[in-house]
Amino acid sequence: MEEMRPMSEEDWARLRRIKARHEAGLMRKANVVGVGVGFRRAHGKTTGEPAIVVSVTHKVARSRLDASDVIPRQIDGVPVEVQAVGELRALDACED
Amino acid sequence: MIENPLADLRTTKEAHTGQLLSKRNVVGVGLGYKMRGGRNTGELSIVVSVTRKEPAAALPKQDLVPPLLENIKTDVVETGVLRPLPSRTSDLGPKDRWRPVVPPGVSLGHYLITAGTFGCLVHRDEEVFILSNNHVLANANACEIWDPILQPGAADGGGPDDRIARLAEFVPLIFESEPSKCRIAGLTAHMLNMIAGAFGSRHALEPVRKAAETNHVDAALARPLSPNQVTNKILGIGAPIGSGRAQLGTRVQKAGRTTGLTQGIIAQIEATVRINYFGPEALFTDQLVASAMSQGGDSGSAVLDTQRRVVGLLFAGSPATTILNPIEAVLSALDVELVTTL
Repeated sequence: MEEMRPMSEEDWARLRRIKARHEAGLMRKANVVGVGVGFRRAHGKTTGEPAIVVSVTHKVARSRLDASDVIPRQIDGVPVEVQAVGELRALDACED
Repeated sequence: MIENPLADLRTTKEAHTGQLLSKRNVVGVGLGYKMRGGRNTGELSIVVSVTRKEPAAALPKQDLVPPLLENIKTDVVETGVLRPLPSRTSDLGPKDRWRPVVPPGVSLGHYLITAGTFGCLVHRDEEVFILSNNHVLANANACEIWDPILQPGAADGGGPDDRIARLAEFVPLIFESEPSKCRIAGLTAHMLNMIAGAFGSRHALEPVRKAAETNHVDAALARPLSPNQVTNKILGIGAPIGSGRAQLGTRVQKAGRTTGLTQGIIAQIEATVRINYFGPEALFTDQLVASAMSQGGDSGSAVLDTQRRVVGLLFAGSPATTILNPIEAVLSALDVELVTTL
């Protein structure tokens, strides 16, 4: 496993560029509701490793997705973190 | 031996309260420790509160408070005139009607919506505005300038008598054109792509989604009916000291109509998100994503860092996450500045 080193401003800029270049394609995939810059998580905790974070309404097994809807584990060498967040809604008060 | 020293005291106090209250300047009678020279003597006494102390010589005999009542000492305390206090803040919650002064962090909304949150105060030159979301103050574009804003919002019982402001300005929300996710559109494009493929075309067709137009903010301004009816002191947080830019890992807080005072952490920056507005969807770019710190009704809350700098305007989320517009984008889109502590 590659040793983690602190991210320089340049590294962050590169990460942002990669994210910007791929976000439209990611947003078109099934269940995707968000793409941002954040950290990879493992066992419910942040690892501190920078990642492209893809928010999905719910996770679906790769085998059950169209090939075009599969989210790659890495993009241009940057890890991709997939998080299930449910549907993102405007937060006015619920009608009850 | 007296088993309960208070019992005797109470009886004596009750026996004399009426008479004491009829004396000049007396505004209260109670039980307490006798004070002498500003210090507690530890001795239980009947405490008589007066608007002001007067020399015994200046008072008619019947208005003198006796030093002893049935062997129990009295203590005369000058309290001034007792008045009802403005409703204590601890008695009111964020869904209540706040008067005479409405603080950020409480329920409010356009008269046709359920309820959202009063985010914070902003100003343009001398003019002060309430800042919240478009979907809170402007009913997600379905509004007229000058529409009434209710405090509390309609879901919290707000009605025509609860108007505190009027819609002044809003940044229109751009909703995605239909219907990219529609199966038929997808299928049609798929078939056309197959045809295109068959004819050797290199231009594969995609389902139509108007992706070019995205939103940066869900924001609007309301003009208070009276500038004296609003404060910049956010409920449970206080007045912001300015604005700031959130980073990954920045700890944040907000005061909202539904979940009150909560804390979170910035988990993503520069996020592109698709938000469901109870039907239509809108794409936002350059957003901040915080941990779960909100529920329906918290929309419009100002999100501050721990130094009380406003970093975002809360507008969307799910049970797992909270989405904020970066505050600089909000302030520049509306051409306003925060009302901060002076």
